Amino acid sequence: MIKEKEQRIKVGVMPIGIALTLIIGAYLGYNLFEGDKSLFLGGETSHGHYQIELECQACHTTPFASQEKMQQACESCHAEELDRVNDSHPKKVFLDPRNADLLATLDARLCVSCHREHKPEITRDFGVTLAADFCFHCHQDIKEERPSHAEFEFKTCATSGCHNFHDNSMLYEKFIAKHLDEPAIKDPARLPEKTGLKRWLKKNKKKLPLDVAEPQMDSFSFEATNQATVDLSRVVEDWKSSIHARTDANCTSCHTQNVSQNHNSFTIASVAPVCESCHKRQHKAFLESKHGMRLALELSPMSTDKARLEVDKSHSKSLDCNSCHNPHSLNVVEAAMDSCLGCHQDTHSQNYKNSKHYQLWAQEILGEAPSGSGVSCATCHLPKVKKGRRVTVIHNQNLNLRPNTKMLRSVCMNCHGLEFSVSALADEALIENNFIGIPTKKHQTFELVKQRMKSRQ
Amino acid sequence: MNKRQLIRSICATSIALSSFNVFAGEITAQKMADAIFAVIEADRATYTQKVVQRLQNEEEVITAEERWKEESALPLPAQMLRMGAERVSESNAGFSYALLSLWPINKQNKPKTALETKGLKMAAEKLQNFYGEETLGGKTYFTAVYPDIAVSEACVTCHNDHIDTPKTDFKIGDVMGGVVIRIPLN
Repeated sequence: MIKEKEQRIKVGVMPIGIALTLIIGAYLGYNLFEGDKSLFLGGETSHGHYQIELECQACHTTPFASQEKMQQACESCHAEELDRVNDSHPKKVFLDPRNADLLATLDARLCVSCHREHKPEITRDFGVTLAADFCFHCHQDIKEERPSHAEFEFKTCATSGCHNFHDNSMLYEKFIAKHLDEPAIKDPARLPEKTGLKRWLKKNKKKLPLDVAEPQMDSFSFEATNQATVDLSRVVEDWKSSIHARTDANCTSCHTQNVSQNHNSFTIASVAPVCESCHKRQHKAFLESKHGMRLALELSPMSTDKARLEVDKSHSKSLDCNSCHNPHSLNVVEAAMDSCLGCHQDTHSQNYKNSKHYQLWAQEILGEAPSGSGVSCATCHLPKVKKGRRVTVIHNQNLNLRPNTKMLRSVCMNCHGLEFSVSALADEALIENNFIGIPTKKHQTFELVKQRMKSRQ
Repeated sequence: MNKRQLIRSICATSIALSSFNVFAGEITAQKMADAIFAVIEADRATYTQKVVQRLQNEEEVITAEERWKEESALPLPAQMLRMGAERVSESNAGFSYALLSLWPINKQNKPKTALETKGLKMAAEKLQNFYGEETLGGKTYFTAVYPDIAVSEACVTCHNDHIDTPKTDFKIGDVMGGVVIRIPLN
């Protein structure tokens, strides 16, 4: 009797088990391919990757991908930048068999040895998931090599203005020694001027500015993808005085003339690729930035409602080239400040209009101060960088923030001495209040370099 | 083909094959390392004398700097060698090499293994090549160390004047360090 009862229970439980497995399997399967992939996230994603966290294959490439494949995924986005900054610890250095013992402690060939994703509880700045004293693993004997460093703790190596694991392009002794004892504010304090228009005019001496008659706007109606009402006369006026009209860019340079319909109209399907056709460098840098990284993976653009930073969420605004640049007026003054403050509402951004930098910017745009003397948001975050004879705007606004000492040469040192600049960038309170005031602490780096220079004499 | 011709052709083929085997057998790890060193040494000496020495020291057109990228300068000859070594490592070519010294400017380039120390001493004291075997990370390597000699004024002045140099009296023709080549044996 008891045996029969047990068998009945077993037979009764089995279909329920199968049914439950099928339901759970179907639920997970649906969400994996069609529904909510966030169910599968192993933990909150870091600041650098959260925008693309549901594009699992961007990093994992395939389910159960090998470590090598995942390393390739990291490199596909980050290798070029690391090479550009002359990475101090590139993977190739650790391929030498004489470093085999170091790799046994810390495998520096793999990004994930230091940057593990989905580990919010141990993630620090720049997505580092190792303890702050990680330099110890390979540089225990630094006290013998540099007695001046004997008192420093290993967790302070990467303090702003000292060392970085990857990018030390601004922090080398010769550069610091060359710029010792510079004044806090240089005279003159000027930013470089962009050379794009000058170069174009030099190459196209015979091209005259385009005029209204040439685009023949009156014979077309305008059809925007968002179906917003467009004030055509305003568009024409804006365009007429823009740099596009000066550089031979007509309506059809950006808009497709739609002649198949019963009326002539201009449409524009996707903004960034249209801009890219002429502005390749800017577009590439934009896709490398947090503003454009979703577009780089062909996802919908980043928008204010997805942001983790403090932004104005009262309206959903998505990020494309024309989020910051009015495509017809191309007003760079607007793009350099108003566009940024239209979204960003963190303390640093909100303090900007109380800063000396803003006062100088306001004077410059009113024509009361020379060109290049004002400091807008773009001055620091989308800097004008001189390479050879060319000065271009870097459109990756994150590039010089990791680490922030990348701002030294292209931004701060146009107007300020090196020691003042390094001290300011290491002062978190000063950054938060948008540089209202001066750095309170002197940076130790400079005293150390001065001592080294003395010891050499 | 008659019998005699057949025997002749078989003999000729056997001789050719056996001589190939002898030849192939002669490409030992040591021969391979010597050949690789000849290329490394020739390339580096050419770069030092025809590029750095000429453009920096004689014609004073451009300087060679440790921070060549940031300073828009030429890479130092030692960096040129190291960049080549890193490219070879990345290409998985079946060997690796490094430039080391008993008096390194960058302390990461001092000898690490017992064999490196022995080889660099042999290079410095007797101006001789050194060959041996060692095990690193569970793999056995044939390791060769070759004397690295100062070939121009540029080498000597840069090393003697550098703030981190432990030796300041190098002269042209002195051994400044050694090129270490490793070939995995299994």
